[in-house]
Amino acid sequence: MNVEINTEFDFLQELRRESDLSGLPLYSESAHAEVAELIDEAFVSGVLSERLPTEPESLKITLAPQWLNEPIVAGLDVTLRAGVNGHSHEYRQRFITGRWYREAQIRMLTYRDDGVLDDQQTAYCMLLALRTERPAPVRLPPLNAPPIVDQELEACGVRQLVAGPLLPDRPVLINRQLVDDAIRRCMEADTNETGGALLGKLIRLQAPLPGTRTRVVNLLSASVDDSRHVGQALSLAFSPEALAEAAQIADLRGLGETVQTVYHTHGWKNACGNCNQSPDCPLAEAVPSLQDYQLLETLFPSKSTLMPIAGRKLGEPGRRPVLQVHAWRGGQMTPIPWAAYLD
Amino acid sequence: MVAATRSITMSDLSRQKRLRADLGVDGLTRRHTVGQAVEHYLDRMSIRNHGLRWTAFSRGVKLDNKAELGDLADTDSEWTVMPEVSAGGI
Repeated sequence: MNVEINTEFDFLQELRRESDLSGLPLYSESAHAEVAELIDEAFVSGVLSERLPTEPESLKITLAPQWLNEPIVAGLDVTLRAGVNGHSHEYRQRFITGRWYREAQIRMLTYRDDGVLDDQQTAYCMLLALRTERPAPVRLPPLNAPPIVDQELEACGVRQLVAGPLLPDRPVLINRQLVDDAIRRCMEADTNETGGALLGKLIRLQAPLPGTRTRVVNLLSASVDDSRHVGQALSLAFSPEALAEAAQIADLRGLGETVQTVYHTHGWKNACGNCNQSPDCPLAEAVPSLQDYQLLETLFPSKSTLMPIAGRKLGEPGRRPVLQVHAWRGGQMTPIPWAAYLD
Repeated sequence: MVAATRSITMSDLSRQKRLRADLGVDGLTRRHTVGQAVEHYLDRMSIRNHGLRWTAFSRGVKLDNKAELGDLADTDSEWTVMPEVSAGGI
């Protein structure tokens, strides 16, 4: 694929004590790797939503900052123009955050520990785009579409869909048994964390499901738990050996599945049970932590990866954990709706 | 006698970030080690190392990071590359 990037900017990430450019930054570094990640995400989103072909012959990328106050970026529009067989397909996505923001959060923790920032002091994370005649090159990872199999739901063992909303451009179906097991294991582990590998695949249906616009569906079909994954309060260490075995189990099932991702839990206090109602509950909610992002960036670096987390969700009715599924949307993992199915 | 591998394909666990390297052609030779091949994969795929300990598995078995690629059997040409990493609510 012939890839061309049109930009007239150098990108920087900075952390500052003031909300403008006065004074010296706490740090100032290139953000080109972070911008490359956004391009990768936009490409994968375009493919999964069927707005872009899976194997374009050419790809023209345009980066257009939306200004808060030039050169401070409020949002970055990534436009991809893919050419294949003489046809052109365009996909645009606006990003208002990215890894530079998570990097700043990590650095702020260190600065507070070191006394560079006091506990009450605010710091401002910024993405800057500096106009230049010779912008530094953005080094892209190989832009590959994830493997997608042409298959119908019945052939994947989906007997019945249980009611649930779907994202029109990112439908996700999860085996009901898997959901029940994840919630049960969350409760059994109590305030400790637990988790396991999730098998599944991306399939392309003949027609989109009702309420959706893409034929590409992400199916999570089974979980593989393993006692070698060691959990404690606030942490779960995944065993590479156990994950490698889960990959072999996926092969042995002969359904074309892979280990799509892992699920993990953020704890549940059975003795209390008010985890969803109490704003003072010390347990983390079922949203990705900075540690979870590190897991994603290393174990599952594809931008098509989902991250299901079981645990408490403030305001959710009932005295049971929820399974919240997150997908890459606009530079961060965002909770998305999904539907359960019966096999 | 086991035939030595001439190319390796490395991927992440979900098999979505795949890289094939023909030994002697794509930046790796028979004298490179498994550990060096893993570093090559991470660099080419723009995957951050994060200071973690990385391992390659072939057919479910962990490969020795110090083993030379020329000493691997042809059946050990499909790797899954993984770090030792934790999730958590921190």
